[in-house]
Amino acid sequence: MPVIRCKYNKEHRIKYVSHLDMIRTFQRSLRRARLPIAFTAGYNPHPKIAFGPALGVGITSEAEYIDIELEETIEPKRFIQALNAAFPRGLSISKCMYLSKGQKNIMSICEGARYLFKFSNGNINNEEMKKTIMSGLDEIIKKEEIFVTRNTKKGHRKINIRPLIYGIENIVIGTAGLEIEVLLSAGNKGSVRSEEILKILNKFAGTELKLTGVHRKELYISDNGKLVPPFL
Amino acid sequence: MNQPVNLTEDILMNVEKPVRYIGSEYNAIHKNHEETDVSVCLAFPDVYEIAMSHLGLKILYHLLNERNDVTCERVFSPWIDMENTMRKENIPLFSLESGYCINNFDILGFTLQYEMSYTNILNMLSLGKIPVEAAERTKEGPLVIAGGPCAFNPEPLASFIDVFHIGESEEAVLEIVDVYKDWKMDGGLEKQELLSSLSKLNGIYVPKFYHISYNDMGIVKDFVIKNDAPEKINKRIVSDLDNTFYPKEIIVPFMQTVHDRIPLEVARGCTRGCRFCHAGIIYRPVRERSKEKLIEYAEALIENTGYEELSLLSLSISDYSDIENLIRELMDKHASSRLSISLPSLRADSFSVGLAKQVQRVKKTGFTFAPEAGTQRLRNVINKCLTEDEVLSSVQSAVDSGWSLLKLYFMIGLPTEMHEDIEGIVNITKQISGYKKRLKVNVSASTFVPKAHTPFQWEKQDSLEVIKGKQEYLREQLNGKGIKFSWHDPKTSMIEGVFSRGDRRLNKVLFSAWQRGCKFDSWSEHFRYNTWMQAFEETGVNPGGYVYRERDIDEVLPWDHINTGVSKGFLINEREKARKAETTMDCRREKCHKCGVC
Repeated sequence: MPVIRCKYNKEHRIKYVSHLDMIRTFQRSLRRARLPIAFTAGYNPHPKIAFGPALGVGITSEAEYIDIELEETIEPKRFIQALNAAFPRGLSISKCMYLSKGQKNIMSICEGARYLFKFSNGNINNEEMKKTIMSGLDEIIKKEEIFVTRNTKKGHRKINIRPLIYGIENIVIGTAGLEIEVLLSAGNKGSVRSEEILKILNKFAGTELKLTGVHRKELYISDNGKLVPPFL
Repeated sequence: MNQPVNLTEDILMNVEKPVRYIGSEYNAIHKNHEETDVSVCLAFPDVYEIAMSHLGLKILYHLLNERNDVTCERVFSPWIDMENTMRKENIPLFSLESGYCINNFDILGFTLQYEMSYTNILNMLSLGKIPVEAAERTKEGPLVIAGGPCAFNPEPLASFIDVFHIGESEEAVLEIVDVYKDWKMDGGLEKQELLSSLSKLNGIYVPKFYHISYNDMGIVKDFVIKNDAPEKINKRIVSDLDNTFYPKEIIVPFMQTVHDRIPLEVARGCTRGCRFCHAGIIYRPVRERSKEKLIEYAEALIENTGYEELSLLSLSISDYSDIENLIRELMDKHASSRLSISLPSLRADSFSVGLAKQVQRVKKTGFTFAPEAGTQRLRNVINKCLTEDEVLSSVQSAVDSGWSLLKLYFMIGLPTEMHEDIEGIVNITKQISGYKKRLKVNVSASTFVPKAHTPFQWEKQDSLEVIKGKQEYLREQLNGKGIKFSWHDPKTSMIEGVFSRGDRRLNKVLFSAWQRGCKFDSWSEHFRYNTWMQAFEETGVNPGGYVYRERDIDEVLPWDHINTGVSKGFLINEREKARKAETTMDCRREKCHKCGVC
């Protein structure tokens, strides 16, 4: 059965919709779009869909991915049109592509994600602040271990998140505040929470910045050891 | 120009389930207030996931929005964490669509579904910067109206609501909007004129035009009508359901709501005549939708919502005249798109083999049915005339049709109840659970609360001690394998009883309780019995007078001016028959009992 992989945006107020609620939203949007979707068998049949790594509540994205199994192939353009018309405001498919036989689902091959973080705290646009922040970011990069405490099912656990931070780029400090792009581990390799990035930035820069926005810019899969987006 | 309230990301990220407050759902309707003449805000006094399960709200929302000159939006109770933040940040209560403060709307309409929601109503008014007391409102703020089942005894809310609508709203709500629009367009008129015009509509009760006083026993002493208002307010019903509006699209919430599926209202009313049942009286006479119309609505709703489940709604679904064919046709049409159909509780005596066959194709959550009482005698008293054989054979049919979870509903504290009736609950449950191995039986015993306009409206409720004793007995006895027993806090039932048969003296009690922090009273973790008792004490009102006193047949009851169409004579007759354990057959199947409604 053909599987179509879609890249979609999640923006505006829909950013507050949790991952679980998104699953239901997709299921119903697919039904409204009257697309030839494949259903699971059994007592509670639902559309056969596989999501990429969950997006935290409050985070927007231009690079969410979902694999949808169909009963028959339909023209990608038609697919996008039908589904976009059936979506609530804030969701839209930007691209889609059929997978070839044997290709694994997006969650199992996803290894990284690029996020745009926006911070502010009043007057940040001065030379001193810039120096402080840059040195803080340098500190983070230099470290091999940065521990955070997470409250898991097994209780509080100390986790070293430094190896999960692949890189920090495109640093912009301006009147709006600080913007950085952070390449983080995603999917099976583990993930980092936005609050943790905020915490360690403030810790190493000695600042009291507040998070004003998080946006996922792209997901990455591994291709011959390199991280590349799922669609080239 | 109105502005949306400043609901920041900071606020939304720090409350539970921010999705409750963002609106933006598929099929939500956003209009420009500047381009319409009347703005209505429908208010359900509970939290989003409860409010969005309510069918009435869906019907009125889409009905009103069909009009080009009306904007209709929604507002619900913010959860406690959000309310605290709103009060702290000075954010007033806002509608989901435009985000405007609710005091900017022309009409604010509350639905009265259960008495334990009343404190939330006062809370919403306060949060919406609307004077809680109707007498303090000016024509600048919204007209505050209320409807729904509890409006049939409006008195406990009389000082907080401008206008009550009694009965079914599909036609009346449009009349209300028209009267309002005329008054508004005229510009120079006072609020009094608006109220007068509205009180001339059928089914409208303006409490301001009635001066009611009570003696120390709580019995109506004076009843003075002003302004040419009607002596009795007759309920509204829609006579032809097939030609009454039903939405072909409904909002699809993001989050999981209590009922998260397509509601298909199959019929209204029920004449089985169970004597405790308020709905059975207020929704008479029985009216059905035709199978063809239902199939048409189902098709449109499935297409427009993408829901995977559809539920057939009616007070007594198996009494729908064409139920087997309806289910069969719906399944034939939609099974391939994996639609599942669910049924609310089925009457154990009309669960025929034919119905069972169709119902086999249907989603099986739990097979629900309500014997209500544990012995034949008591069932006859309440006129739920199921025989034990009927109960057992229905259980067998259900289990043989594939159900493995049964839900049984009983009541305790019924009139003339004796210990052997409570034993009867245990007996039936054990018999049922013994029918098959690994059969799960969930038994629920709620506390009987006598309701206004029913044959039991004169009865007294069991005291807290007596109820607790019965619950303890059931807890001890219903301990078999696969049996789960649940019960309700008798204190909640007591307060519910006070308000369901209350009068205007409760206005100040309600205000006091709310001021002292009572809200979300139907949520067990928030219900504060002691605070309620403080409110009663502070205001000098004795709650026992409402619930623990058997009322006299000749008393003027606080709700007598509201007419359900069913005569008091009929209720009295039914009450007498109850005391003799005599039954009254369903008038659809046998003769007319002249209840008065047709």
